[in-house]
Amino acid sequence: MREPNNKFEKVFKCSRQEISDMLNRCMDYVGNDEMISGGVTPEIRSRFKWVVTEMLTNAIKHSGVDECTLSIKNDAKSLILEKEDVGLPLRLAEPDGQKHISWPLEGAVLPVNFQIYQNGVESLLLTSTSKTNAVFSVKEIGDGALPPVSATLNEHFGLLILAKAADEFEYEYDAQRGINRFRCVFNLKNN
Amino acid sequence: MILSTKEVNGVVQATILAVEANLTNADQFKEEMITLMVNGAKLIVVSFENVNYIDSSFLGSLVVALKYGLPRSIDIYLVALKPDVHNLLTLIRMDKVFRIFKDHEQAMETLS
Repeated sequence: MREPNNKFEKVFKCSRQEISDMLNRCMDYVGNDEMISGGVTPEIRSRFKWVVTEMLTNAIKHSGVDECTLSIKNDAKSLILEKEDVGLPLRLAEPDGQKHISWPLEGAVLPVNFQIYQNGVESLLLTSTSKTNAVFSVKEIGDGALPPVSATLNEHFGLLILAKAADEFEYEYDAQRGINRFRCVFNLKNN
Repeated sequence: MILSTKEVNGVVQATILAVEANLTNADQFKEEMITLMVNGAKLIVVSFENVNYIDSSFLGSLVVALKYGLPRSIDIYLVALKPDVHNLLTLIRMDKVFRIFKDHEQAMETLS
């Protein structure tokens, strides 16, 4: 069935076997010049594919529900991927596992700044300016040289990929409706 | 089985058979890699020649395998990465963690 212009919305059944089909549907959409005026560059297509994959993987691993909604919107300047579900709110641990943070941020002193991950050369950071939102960013740290591989090397890359592959990555928790909304924005520089 | 393996001059050459290296086969990959190490491999050269895309789950399994091998003096090399796969490793700087070669032959040449 043909999608209406500038809008893609699909329900994803949170199952490993569904990843490939949903990924292909999303990539077909962004690869269709009729849907996105001027098309999407191969570089943005690659980044978009990584982001869709991680969104779907996170839905299966962390949402705790059977389905979520994936939507793609675009205009001349940006391409936006959103995932919504009514599952478990975001909960994150610092790299040492000692400190956790979860949404909504009841009792937190705002703004909240939180380091999720660091590998010696870059740090994945989260900033919340309200009880219900989170903006992810990556900051360079250290002298640019990756430390030797050790047992402490982190093997959780999902959020890092989302934060680095998208131009903007944020989370919002709609407390009234119990909805988790993850949003990734891609700047369409060449479109 | 997600890996096809053969031993060449004491090196295990493993080829990932899956086209999509993701959540569906990440655990299996990790188990097969660790089994190779338990069975005595000292160097595993993993070919991604069939892999069109990879996700964080599979990358996580790769790092878990590397960390398992580290205290046992077992190394893992990667070969035949397609551009999209290589670019994702570069994005998260795993290209600095693993030694990456064009193919099995180039990886083996570094050992001689």
